Amino acid sequence: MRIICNGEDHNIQEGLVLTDYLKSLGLDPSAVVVEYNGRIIDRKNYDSQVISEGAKLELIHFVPGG
Amino acid sequence: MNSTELIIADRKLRSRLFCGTGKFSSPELMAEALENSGCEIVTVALRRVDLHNTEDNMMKYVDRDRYLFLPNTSGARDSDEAVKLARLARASGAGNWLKLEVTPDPRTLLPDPVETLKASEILVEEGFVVLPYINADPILALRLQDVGVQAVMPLGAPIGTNQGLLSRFQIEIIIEQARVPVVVDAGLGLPSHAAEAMEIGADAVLVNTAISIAADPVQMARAFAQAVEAGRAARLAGAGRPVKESQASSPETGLEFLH
Repeated sequence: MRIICNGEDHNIQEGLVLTDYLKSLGLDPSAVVVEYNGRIIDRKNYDSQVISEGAKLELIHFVPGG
Repeated sequence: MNSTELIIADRKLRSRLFCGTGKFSSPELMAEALENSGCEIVTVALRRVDLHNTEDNMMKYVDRDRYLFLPNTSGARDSDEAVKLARLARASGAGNWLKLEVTPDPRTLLPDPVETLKASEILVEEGFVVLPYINADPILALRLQDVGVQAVMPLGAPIGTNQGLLSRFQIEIIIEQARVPVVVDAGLGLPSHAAEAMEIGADAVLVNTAISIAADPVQMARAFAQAVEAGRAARLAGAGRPVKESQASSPETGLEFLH
Protein backbone atom coordinates (compact mmCIF):
# COMPACT_ATOMS: atom_id res chain seq x y z
CA MET A 1 0.00 0.00 0.00
CA ARG A 2 1.35 3.38 -1.00
CA ILE A 3 1.52 6.46 1.19
CA ILE A 4 3.47 9.71 1.05
CA CYS A 5 5.63 10.47 4.05
CA ASN A 6 7.61 13.71 4.25
CA GLY A 7 7.25 14.07 0.52
CA GLU A 8 8.56 10.56 -0.26
CA ASP A 9 6.65 7.58 -1.62
CA HIS A 10 6.58 4.74 0.89
CA ASN A 11 5.14 1.26 0.64
CA ILE A 12 3.70 -0.04 3.89
CA GLN A 13 1.56 -2.96 4.94
CA GLU A 14 -2.17 -2.46 5.33
CA GLY A 15 -3.69 -1.90 8.76
CA LEU A 16 -0.56 -0.33 10.27
CA VAL A 17 -1.17 2.15 13.10
CA LEU A 18 0.96 5.28 13.51
CA THR A 19 2.91 4.02 16.52
CA ASP A 20 4.09 0.92 14.66
CA TYR A 21 4.89 2.85 11.52
CA LEU A 22 7.01 5.38 13.43
CA LYS A 23 8.84 2.58 15.21
CA SER A 24 9.47 0.85 11.89
CA LEU A 25 11.26 4.01 10.77
CA GLY A 26 13.46 3.91 13.87
CA LEU A 27 11.64 6.86 15.48
CA ASP A 28 10.53 7.38 19.06
CA PRO A 29 6.78 8.12 18.76
CA SER A 30 6.94 10.38 21.83
CA ALA A 31 9.42 12.65 20.04
CA VAL A 32 7.51 13.10 16.78
CA VAL A 33 4.49 15.19 15.87
CA VAL A 34 2.38 13.77 13.07
CA GLU A 35 0.32 15.66 10.57
CA TYR A 36 -2.02 13.21 8.87
CA ASN A 37 -3.66 14.51 5.70
CA GLY A 38 -3.11 18.04 6.99
CA ARG A 39 -4.51 17.38 10.46
CA ILE A 40 -2.38 17.25 13.62
CA ILE A 41 -2.85 13.93 15.36
CA ASP A 42 -3.08 13.90 19.15
CA ARG A 43 -0.31 11.67 20.46
CA LYS A 44 -2.71 9.56 22.49
CA ASN A 45 -4.28 8.47 19.22
CA TYR A 46 -1.05 7.18 17.65
CA ASP A 47 -1.93 3.67 18.80
CA SER A 48 -5.36 3.73 17.17
CA GLN A 49 -4.85 5.80 14.02
CA VAL A 50 -4.71 3.30 11.16
CA ILE A 51 -2.86 4.58 8.10
CA SER A 52 -5.00 4.54 4.96
CA GLU A 53 -3.99 4.02 1.34
CA GLY A 54 -2.71 7.26 -0.19
CA ALA A 55 -2.36 8.99 3.18
CA LYS A 56 -0.11 12.01 3.30
CA LEU A 57 2.00 12.18 6.43
CA GLU A 58 4.30 14.86 7.73
CA LEU A 59 6.59 13.84 10.56
CA ILE A 60 7.93 16.83 12.48
CA HIS A 61 10.30 17.00 15.43
CA PHE A 62 12.40 19.43 17.44
CA VAL A 63 15.76 20.38 16.08
CA PRO A 64 18.34 22.78 17.47
CA GLY A 65 17.40 26.41 16.89
CA GLY A 66 17.60 29.90 18.27
CA MET B 1 9.35 43.30 39.91
CA ASN B 2 11.29 41.07 42.30
CA SER B 3 14.96 41.91 42.19
CA THR B 4 16.29 38.39 42.04
CA GLU B 5 13.64 36.37 40.29
CA LEU B 6 12.23 36.87 36.88
CA ILE B 7 8.63 35.82 36.51
CA ILE B 8 7.06 35.08 33.14
CA ALA B 9 3.56 33.64 32.99
CA ASP B 10 3.76 32.73 36.71
CA ARG B 11 6.96 30.79 36.15
CA LYS B 12 9.80 31.88 38.43
CA LEU B 13 13.19 31.91 36.77
CA ARG B 14 16.50 32.26 38.54
CA SER B 15 18.58 32.63 35.40
CA ARG B 16 18.13 35.65 33.19
CA LEU B 17 20.06 34.06 30.37
CA PHE B 18 17.99 32.16 27.81
CA CYS B 19 19.94 30.03 25.37
CA GLY B 20 19.41 28.95 21.81
CA THR B 21 20.45 25.45 20.81
CA GLY B 22 21.36 26.03 17.15
CA LYS B 23 24.66 25.83 15.34
CA PHE B 24 26.72 23.90 17.89
CA SER B 25 29.31 21.64 16.30
CA SER B 26 27.96 18.63 18.20
CA PRO B 27 24.99 17.84 20.43
CA GLU B 28 27.35 16.87 23.24
CA LEU B 29 28.96 20.31 23.13
CA MET B 30 25.51 21.92 23.07
CA ALA B 31 24.51 20.03 26.21
CA GLU B 32 27.71 20.99 28.02
CA ALA B 33 27.39 24.65 27.03
CA LEU B 34 23.76 24.77 28.19
CA GLU B 35 24.75 23.28 31.51
CA ASN B 36 27.51 25.85 31.98
CA SER B 37 25.25 28.74 31.02
CA GLY B 38 22.99 28.00 33.97
CA CYS B 39 20.02 28.75 31.73
CA GLU B 40 16.58 27.38 32.43
CA ILE B 41 14.95 28.24 29.12
CA VAL B 42 16.17 26.85 25.81
CA THR B 43 14.81 27.57 22.37
CA VAL B 44 14.23 24.84 19.80
CA ALA B 45 12.92 24.79 16.24
CA LEU B 46 10.51 22.45 14.45
CA ARG B 47 11.48 20.73 11.24
CA ARG B 48 10.65 17.68 9.17
CA VAL B 49 12.20 14.47 10.41
CA ASP B 50 15.05 13.37 8.14
CA LEU B 51 13.84 9.87 7.25
CA HIS B 52 17.34 8.92 6.15
CA ASN B 53 18.85 9.85 9.49
CA THR B 54 16.30 9.00 12.14
CA GLU B 55 18.99 8.65 14.79
CA ASP B 56 19.35 12.42 14.69
CA ASN B 57 17.30 13.43 17.73
CA MET B 58 18.36 16.38 19.89
CA MET B 59 15.96 15.33 22.62
CA LYS B 60 18.47 12.70 23.68
CA TYR B 61 20.78 15.50 24.77
CA VAL B 62 18.46 18.02 26.38
CA ASP B 63 16.72 17.02 29.59
CA ARG B 64 13.13 18.17 29.34
CA ASP B 65 12.69 18.00 33.10
CA ARG B 66 15.57 20.39 33.59
CA TYR B 67 14.93 22.98 30.87
CA LEU B 68 11.79 24.80 29.88
CA PHE B 69 11.41 24.39 26.15
CA LEU B 70 10.67 27.52 24.20
CA PRO B 71 9.84 26.33 20.68
CA ASN B 72 10.28 28.98 18.04
CA THR B 73 8.34 29.51 14.85
CA SER B 74 11.44 30.02 12.76
CA GLY B 75 10.81 29.49 9.09
CA ALA B 76 7.35 31.08 9.27
CA ARG B 77 6.90 33.78 6.64
CA ASP B 78 3.44 34.89 7.71
CA SER B 79 0.99 34.55 10.58
CA ASP B 80 -0.71 31.44 9.16
CA GLU B 81 2.59 29.56 9.04
CA ALA B 82 3.52 30.76 12.53
CA VAL B 83 0.18 29.60 13.94
CA LYS B 84 0.62 26.22 12.27
CA LEU B 85 4.09 25.81 13.78
CA ALA B 86 2.78 26.88 17.18
CA ARG B 87 0.07 24.22 17.12
CA LEU B 88 2.59 21.57 16.07
CA ALA B 89 4.87 22.64 18.90
CA ARG B 90 2.07 22.28 21.42
CA ALA B 91 1.12 18.88 20.01
CA SER B 92 4.68 17.76 20.68
CA GLY B 93 3.96 17.93 24.37
CA ALA B 94 6.49 20.68 25.03
CA GLY B 95 3.96 22.89 26.75
CA ASN B 96 2.41 26.12 25.56
CA TRP B 97 5.33 28.56 25.59
CA LEU B 98 6.26 29.97 22.24
CA LYS B 99 8.90 32.22 20.78
CA LEU B 100 6.88 33.76 18.00
CA GLU B 101 8.99 34.80 15.05
CA VAL B 102 7.77 35.73 11.60
CA THR B 103 10.60 36.50 9.22
CA PRO B 104 9.55 36.84 5.59
CA ASP B 105 12.89 38.14 4.32
CA PRO B 106 15.63 35.47 4.38
CA ARG B 107 18.31 38.07 3.76
CA THR B 108 17.74 40.21 6.86
CA LEU B 109 15.62 37.80 8.94
CA LEU B 110 13.92 40.90 10.31
CA PRO B 111 10.54 40.22 11.89
CA ASP B 112 7.32 41.26 10.18
CA PRO B 113 5.49 43.48 12.70
CA VAL B 114 2.03 43.19 11.13
CA GLU B 115 2.06 39.40 10.86
CA THR B 116 3.61 39.07 14.34
CA LEU B 117 0.81 41.13 15.87
CA LYS B 118 -1.81 39.15 13.95
CA ALA B 119 -0.35 35.79 15.02
CA SER B 120 -0.04 37.01 18.63
CA GLU B 121 -3.74 37.80 18.76
CA ILE B 122 -4.65 34.31 17.56
CA LEU B 123 -2.16 32.46 19.75
CA VAL B 124 -2.91 34.36 22.96
CA GLU B 125 -6.57 33.54 22.33
CA GLU B 126 -5.60 29.86 21.96
CA GLY B 127 -3.88 29.90 25.35
CA PHE B 128 -0.25 30.08 24.31
CA VAL B 129 2.34 31.92 26.38
CA VAL B 130 3.55 34.13 23.55
CA LEU B 131 6.99 35.72 23.57
CA PRO B 132 7.24 37.59 20.28
CA TYR B 133 10.56 38.36 18.62
CA ILE B 134 10.27 41.92 17.34
CA ASN B 135 12.23 44.74 15.91
CA ALA B 136 13.02 47.25 18.65
CA ASP B 137 9.79 49.17 18.05
CA PRO B 138 8.32 50.71 21.22
CA ILE B 139 4.86 51.19 19.69
CA LEU B 140 4.68 47.60 18.51
CA ALA B 141 5.83 46.42 21.94
CA LEU B 142 2.89 48.31 23.49
CA ARG B 143 0.43 46.92 20.96
CA LEU B 144 1.63 43.39 21.70
CA GLN B 145 1.28 43.94 25.44
CA ASP B 146 -2.30 45.07 24.84
CA VAL B 147 -2.94 41.82 22.98
CA GLY B 148 -1.73 39.82 25.98
CA VAL B 149 1.76 38.55 25.20
CA GLN B 150 3.75 37.50 28.29
CA ALA B 151 7.03 39.16 27.31
CA VAL B 152 8.48 41.05 24.39
CA MET B 153 11.76 40.13 22.75
CA PRO B 154 13.24 43.06 20.85
CA LEU B 155 16.36 42.47 18.81
CA GLY B 156 19.66 44.07 19.73
CA ALA B 157 20.78 43.59 16.14
CA PRO B 158 19.72 41.26 13.31
CA ILE B 159 19.91 37.52 14.04
CA GLY B 160 23.38 36.02 14.08
CA THR B 161 25.21 39.29 13.40
CA ASN B 162 27.06 39.59 16.74
CA GLN B 163 26.73 43.36 16.43
CA GLY B 164 25.54 44.09 19.96
CA LEU B 165 22.95 46.61 21.08
CA LEU B 166 22.54 48.60 17.87
CA SER B 167 18.97 49.31 18.89
CA ARG B 168 19.82 50.54 22.39
CA PHE B 169 17.89 53.80 22.20
CA GLN B 170 14.62 52.13 21.20
CA ILE B 171 15.12 49.27 23.65
CA GLU B 172 15.47 51.80 26.46
CA ILE B 173 12.07 53.22 25.51
CA ILE B 174 10.56 49.73 25.35
CA ILE B 175 11.90 49.00 28.84
CA GLU B 176 10.58 52.30 30.23
CA GLN B 177 7.10 51.50 28.93
CA ALA B 178 7.03 47.77 29.58
CA ARG B 179 4.37 46.09 31.65
CA VAL B 180 5.76 42.66 30.74
CA PRO B 181 9.36 41.40 30.89
CA VAL B 182 11.68 42.56 28.12
CA VAL B 183 14.06 39.92 26.79
CA VAL B 184 16.71 41.25 24.43
CA ASP B 185 17.01 38.66 21.71
CA ALA B 186 19.34 38.41 18.73
CA GLY B 187 22.53 40.10 17.71
CA LEU B 188 24.35 40.03 21.05
CA GLY B 189 27.87 38.93 20.17
CA LEU B 190 29.81 39.42 23.39
CA PRO B 191 29.21 39.09 27.11
CA SER B 192 29.68 42.87 27.34
CA HIS B 193 26.68 43.31 25.01
CA ALA B 194 24.59 41.14 27.31
CA ALA B 195 25.80 43.07 30.36
CA GLU B 196 24.89 46.33 28.63
CA ALA B 197 21.37 45.07 27.91
CA MET B 198 20.95 44.12 31.57
CA GLU B 199 22.43 47.42 32.78
CA ILE B 200 19.83 49.41 30.86
CA GLY B 201 17.10 47.34 32.49
CA ALA B 202 16.36 44.37 30.27
CA ASP B 203 14.84 41.53 32.29
CA ALA B 204 16.76 38.84 30.42
CA VAL B 205 18.68 38.15 27.23
CA LEU B 206 18.53 35.32 24.72
CA VAL B 207 21.83 34.23 23.22
CA ASN B 208 22.58 31.57 20.65
CA THR B 209 25.14 32.29 17.94
CA ALA B 210 27.64 34.08 20.17
CA ILE B 211 27.92 30.97 22.33
CA SER B 212 27.54 28.23 19.74
CA ILE B 213 30.11 29.52 17.25
CA ALA B 214 32.72 30.52 19.84
CA ALA B 215 35.96 28.56 19.68
CA ASP B 216 35.09 27.30 23.16
CA PRO B 217 31.31 27.41 23.58
CA VAL B 218 31.41 26.07 27.13
CA GLN B 219 33.71 28.85 28.30
CA MET B 220 31.66 31.43 26.40
CA ALA B 221 28.44 30.16 27.99
CA ARG B 222 29.99 30.72 31.41
CA ALA B 223 31.16 34.19 30.38
CA PHE B 224 27.65 35.16 29.27
CA ALA B 225 26.18 33.86 32.52
CA GLN B 226 28.59 36.00 34.51
CA ALA B 227 27.95 39.05 32.31
CA VAL B 228 24.19 38.74 32.72
CA GLU B 229 24.56 38.53 36.48
CA ALA B 230 26.96 41.48 36.55
CA GLY B 231 24.68 43.59 34.36
CA ARG B 232 21.66 42.79 36.49
CA ALA B 233 23.55 43.60 39.70
CA ALA B 234 24.70 46.90 38.20
CA ARG B 235 21.14 47.76 37.24
CA LEU B 236 19.95 47.12 40.78
CA ALA B 237 22.93 49.01 42.23
CA GLY B 238 21.98 52.19 40.35
CA ALA B 239 24.69 53.68 38.18
CA GLY B 240 25.92 57.28 38.32
CA ARG B 241 25.03 59.49 35.38
CA PRO B 242 27.67 60.29 32.75
CA VAL B 243 28.82 63.93 33.02
CA LYS B 244 31.07 66.05 30.82
CA GLU B 245 33.30 67.70 33.43
CA SER B 246 35.92 65.88 35.45
CA GLN B 247 35.14 65.33 39.12
CA ALA B 248 38.16 64.50 41.28
CA SER B 249 37.96 61.27 43.20
CA SER B 250 40.78 62.29 45.56
CA PRO B 251 40.43 65.28 47.97
CA GLU B 252 41.31 68.62 46.38
CA THR B 253 42.26 70.13 49.73
CA GLY B 254 45.27 69.45 51.97
CA LEU B 255 47.80 70.07 49.23
CA GLU B 256 49.43 73.15 50.86
CA PHE B 257 52.61 71.20 51.57
CA LEU B 258 53.01 70.53 47.88
CA HIS B 259 52.30 73.77 46.07
